[in-house]
Amino acid sequence: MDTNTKDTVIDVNNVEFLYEETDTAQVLKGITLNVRRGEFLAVLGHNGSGKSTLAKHLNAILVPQTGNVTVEGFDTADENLLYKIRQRVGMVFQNPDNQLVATIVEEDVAFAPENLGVPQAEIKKRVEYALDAVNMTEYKEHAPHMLSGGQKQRIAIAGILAMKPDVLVMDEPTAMLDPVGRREIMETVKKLNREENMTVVMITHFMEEAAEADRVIVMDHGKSIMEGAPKEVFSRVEELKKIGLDVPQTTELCFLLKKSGLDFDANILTIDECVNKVMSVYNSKGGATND
Amino acid sequence: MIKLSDICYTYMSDGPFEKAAVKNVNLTLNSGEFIGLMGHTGSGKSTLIQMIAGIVKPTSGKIAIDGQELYAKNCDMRKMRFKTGLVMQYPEYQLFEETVFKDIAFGPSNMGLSEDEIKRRVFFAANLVGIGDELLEKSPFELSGGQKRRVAIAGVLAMEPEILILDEPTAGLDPAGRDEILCKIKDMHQRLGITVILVSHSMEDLANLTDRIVVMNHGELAMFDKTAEIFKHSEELKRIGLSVPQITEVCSRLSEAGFPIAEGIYTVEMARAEIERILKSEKS
Repeated sequence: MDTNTKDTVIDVNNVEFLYEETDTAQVLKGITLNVRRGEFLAVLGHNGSGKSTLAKHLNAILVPQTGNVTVEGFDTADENLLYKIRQRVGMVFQNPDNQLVATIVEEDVAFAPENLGVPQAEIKKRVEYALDAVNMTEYKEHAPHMLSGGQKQRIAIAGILAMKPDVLVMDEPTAMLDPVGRREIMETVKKLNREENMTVVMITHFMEEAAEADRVIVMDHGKSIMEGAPKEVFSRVEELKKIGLDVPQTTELCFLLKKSGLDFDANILTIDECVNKVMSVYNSKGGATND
Repeated sequence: MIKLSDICYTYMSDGPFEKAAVKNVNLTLNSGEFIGLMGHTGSGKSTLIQMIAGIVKPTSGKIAIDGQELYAKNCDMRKMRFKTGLVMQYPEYQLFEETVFKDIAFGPSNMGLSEDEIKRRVFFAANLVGIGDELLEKSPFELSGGQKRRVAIAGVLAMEPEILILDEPTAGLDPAGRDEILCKIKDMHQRLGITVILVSHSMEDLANLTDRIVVMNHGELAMFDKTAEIFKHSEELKRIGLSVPQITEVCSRLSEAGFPIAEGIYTVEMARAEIERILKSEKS
């Protein structure tokens, strides 16, 4: 993909950050990366790798102490641009219960556009659009606290969509959800990315989720240490394990079989790829039972 | 032994919002077993473990632990509750003391033990979860997320329960933190010979650790069997909003494609050994 400025929505340039001057270690140590228009970018890293701190830099909740971050060319350090930046980059956090403010779903979704001074008729349209995009229209008159975790998180996403942002940043949005809730969020995010062309940045430590992204950045000790398509990144099994991360079971299986001296590679990601690979090795050794 | 007979629990019974959380569950768990408990959100798993721990009283049915029926006239509930240790979700939110030592000591102090015994238990429990002595005088709030959670678990272990119930002890932890906690739990189970009930959404973790698995669905007991047997029912598990480990899916797909792989594989290591055996024997 082209990396010139036209395609870059967010540019993070050599950012350093520490919370308190007395902190012994910096949280971000000169990280540089960009977010490209229309992509689904996953940021992987263990607890304490700096990934949430990075996320907060993407819409000026935090501003860099050294280096700079620009959103559509706007510098996040310029306080006058704060509204412009936050309208363009919306953030969803881990705990859905901390993000819902109203007692009725549609009022909750309308909260941000109301604060932005959007006219009433337009708000109505946006709320309808946002609830439809996360597949929650039938719950518009429900009370948020009666919904499941996955549904609540989808309402939080709808609340961001109603601002019509350019980028959706999500900081471990599935960490507190069950498998069904996690699936709901992943389906929603992928649909938004594909059908609505929404740029998505997803911070996670679930490698299954990162495996579904277009591009993965791996963070460790406040730096980006790997970057590439999920296939390339996950094939580096030993390096990932060394920094406390996992790879999909399929990748690990092929990696172990390779180590056992069989004709395998660790660039296997999906179940289909893994099954096909085993079958092709099996057939090439004359073990085929069918033609 | 834990024996549940016809257990039911109904929220807000006789009201307009009446909801049956657990319906007619019959279950016998042996002492020293490592039991997995899974089910989607709202399946009744949390209510079930709270009943076993003696926190929630069943609407009907009987629970007996080592032959003693809970809530019976002759039952000393205080004593029975000390038998069962329940580690709730996000237990680190319950830390409150000034120091790690005092926090771990809170449970045993309430049991009316001597100072020496409390001290012994705090060191023992901290050691089990891998919290070094140098951390004991620190404030629990200075620790990392994974450390806080281990301190919270130590607080329950210090009461030396015979049955340890953990409700999603790895939720929100990264893979390294998760492996660390699970490894400690496995180690405790082996060293102390206690019964462990692990509630988890991770099929991979349940596959790696448990002897038998209880599957709950809409308040009812959907399945209860040996771990290998449970993961043979992938269609049924998917229908109730659960899944099988990714590796089990790979093996069943391989079997369909005509690869002569054995049934009942549910860990990566098992799959590696089996596939290697087949491919290497074909070679010769």
